[in-house]
Amino acid sequence: MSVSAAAPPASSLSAARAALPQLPRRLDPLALLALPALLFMAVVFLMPLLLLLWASVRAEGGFSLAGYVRVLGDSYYIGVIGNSLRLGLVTAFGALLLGYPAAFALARARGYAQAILFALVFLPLTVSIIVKSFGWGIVLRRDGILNWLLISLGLIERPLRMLFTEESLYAGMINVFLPFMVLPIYSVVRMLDPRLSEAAATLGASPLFRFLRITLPLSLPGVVAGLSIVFSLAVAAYVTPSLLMGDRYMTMSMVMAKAFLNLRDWQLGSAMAAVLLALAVAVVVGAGLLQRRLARHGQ
Amino acid sequence: MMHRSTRRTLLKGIAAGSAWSLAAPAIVRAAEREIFVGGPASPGLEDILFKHIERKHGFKILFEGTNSLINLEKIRSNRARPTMTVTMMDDPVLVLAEREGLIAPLRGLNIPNLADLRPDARPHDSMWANWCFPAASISYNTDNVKPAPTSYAECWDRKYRDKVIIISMRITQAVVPLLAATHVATGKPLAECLRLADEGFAKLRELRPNILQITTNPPQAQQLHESGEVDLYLSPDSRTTLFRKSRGAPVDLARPREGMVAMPAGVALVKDGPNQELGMTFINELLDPETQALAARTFFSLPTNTKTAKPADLDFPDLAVLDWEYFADNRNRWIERFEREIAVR
Repeated sequence: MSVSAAAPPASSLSAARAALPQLPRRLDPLALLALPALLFMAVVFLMPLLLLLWASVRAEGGFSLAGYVRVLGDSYYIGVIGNSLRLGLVTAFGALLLGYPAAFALARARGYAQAILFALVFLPLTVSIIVKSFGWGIVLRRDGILNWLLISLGLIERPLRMLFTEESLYAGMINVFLPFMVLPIYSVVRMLDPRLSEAAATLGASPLFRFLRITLPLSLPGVVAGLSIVFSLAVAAYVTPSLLMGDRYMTMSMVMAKAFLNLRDWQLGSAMAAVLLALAVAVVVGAGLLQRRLARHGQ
Repeated sequence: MMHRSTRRTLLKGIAAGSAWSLAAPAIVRAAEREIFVGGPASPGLEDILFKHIERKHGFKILFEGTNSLINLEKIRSNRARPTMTVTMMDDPVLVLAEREGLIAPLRGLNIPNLADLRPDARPHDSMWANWCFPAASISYNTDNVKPAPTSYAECWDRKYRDKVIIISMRITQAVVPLLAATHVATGKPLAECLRLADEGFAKLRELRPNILQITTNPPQAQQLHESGEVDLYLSPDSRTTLFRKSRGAPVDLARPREGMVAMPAGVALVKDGPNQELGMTFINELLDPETQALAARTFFSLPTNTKTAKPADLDFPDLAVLDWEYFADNRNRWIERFEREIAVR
C-alpha cells in the first residue's frame, strides 16, 4: 500500500474541514482531558440529580408540583429555608472577616512562617467534624475552658450557657469552613503585583486609600470565589448543625434527611433538595457573572 | 519434552489465575459457616454475646451495627438478592419490615425456645421475637441530682432550666418523654398513654425552658450528661445508662413511681436470606435461657424467656409494654408535631 493512496489530497482535506461543524474546530484538544472527570460526574452526580428532580415532580397520578407547594407554601418550611440561608450568609461573611487578613498573612509570609501558616489552614481539614464537635462541647460547656477564662478574667460572675446556641453554631461553622475562604483569596492575593501599591505610595496615597482603591478591588475575584464556595457548603451543611444545635435549628439538609430516612416521603425530600440546588446554582452562577464583571472592570 | 513458555501460555496462566482469584473467595465462603447479621451498634453485642454464640455453635457471625431505619433500608435495597440472614431492630421498624414483606415469620420454624417466651415478646403471632426488654425512664446525673427523681413530673421543675436533654422523635426512645408528658397531663397509666399521646404535646411544650437540646446524636448527649452539663436525659434505655454506670460514670436510671417503659429489642429472620438454618440457630440461641441470662447481665435488660431467672441486681418493676404498631402508624405525624411544636425555637 502506498502512502499517497492512504493520504487524501490537500484539497479534499480542506473541503472536509469546511464541511465539519464549527465547534470541533474551536475545541482545544486539551479540553478532552476533562472527559474522564465529566463522565465520572455524569454517573455520580448528573444521573442521581435527574432522578432526584424526577422524584420531586412524580406522583401516583403522574406529574405533580405538590412537593414544591408543600415546601414553599408552608411557613414552617419557609422558616427552615430562612435558617439555612441565614446560616450560609453568616458563615460566609464571618469566614470572610477572619479569612481575608489571614490570606494576606499567608501570601506575604516566607519560609518557615508560611509553612506554619499553611499547616494552620490545612490541619483543621484533617480533623473529623465529629471530633471537632465534641471539642466544641468541651470548650463551651458551663465548666468549659471559655467560661473558666471569662470568670478568671472577672468578665462574668457565673457561667454562661454557650452550648447549643445559634452563636455557637455560627462559630463552629466558621471554624469548619474557614480554609475554604482563605485558599481562594490567597491564590488571588499572591498574584497581586506589589509595585502597584508602591507606585500609589510614591504618589502620596495613604495606606487606607491604597487598600480601598488598589488591593481590595484586585482581590475581589478571590473574595467572590470564597464567598460562593463557603456559602454553598454552609447552606447545605448537615452534620455540623445536627451536632451543634440538633433539632432546634432545622436546616434544609436536616429536613431532607428526615424526609428520606424517617418519613420515607420522597416527594418532600426531593422538592426540598431541588430548592436547595436552585439556591446553590443561583449563588454559583451569580458569583461567576460577578467575577467576569470584576475581571472586565480590572482590565 | 521441555515445556516452552510462549505469550499464549502466559496469557492462559494469567486467565486461570484470575479466574481462581475471583472464584476462590466465593468457594471458600460457601464452605464457611457464617451469617450476616444487621443490628444496633451496642457495646457488648459483638464482643460478648456473639462470641458466646460463635463458640457454642461453631459458625461465624458477620455483624454490621447501625440504626434500625438504615438497617431496614439495606434489607429493602437488597430485596431481590438478600445478603442479610438475621436483623435485630426496634419493633416499630420491624412493623414496617413486616408490612413490606421483608421478614419471614418465626412461627413454625425450628426455633424451640420461642415457645418459652412471654407472650408479649412474640409480637404479631411470632412474626419476630423480643430477645430482651431494656428499660427506659429518666437517666439522671448522680452528682447533681440528689435524691433520685421519683416521678416524671419532676422534669418540669424550673430548677432544671437548661438542664434537660430529650431525644429527637426520630429515635424510638423519644416515646418516653412523650408518654411522661401525657401521663402528667392526663394522669393515665404509662401503657395507656401511647394512644393518648396527642394530648401530651401541650405538656411537653411546657418543658421547653428546661430543654437544653433535642438530640439526634445520643453519644454526644450522653457525654454532656456524664460531664454534669445536663442533669436529666430523656431517655436512653438501661443498655446505655446502666452500662455506663457499671463503668463508673455518674449516671443512673430513675425508678419513677409511674413505672418504666420496656423498649423493644426485636430479632427477625430476613425473608429469603442466605443460610436460613444458621439464622434459626442464631435466633434460638438468643432466646435460650442461659444466653438470655448473659444478655440480661450484659445489657441490663429484662430477659424475655420465662425460664430465665431475672438477675438479682436488676430491680426493675414490671415494665409497660407498648403497642408498637400504633406507634409505627403515628410516628411520622408525631415527628412533624414534635418538630413544629417542641423543637422549634
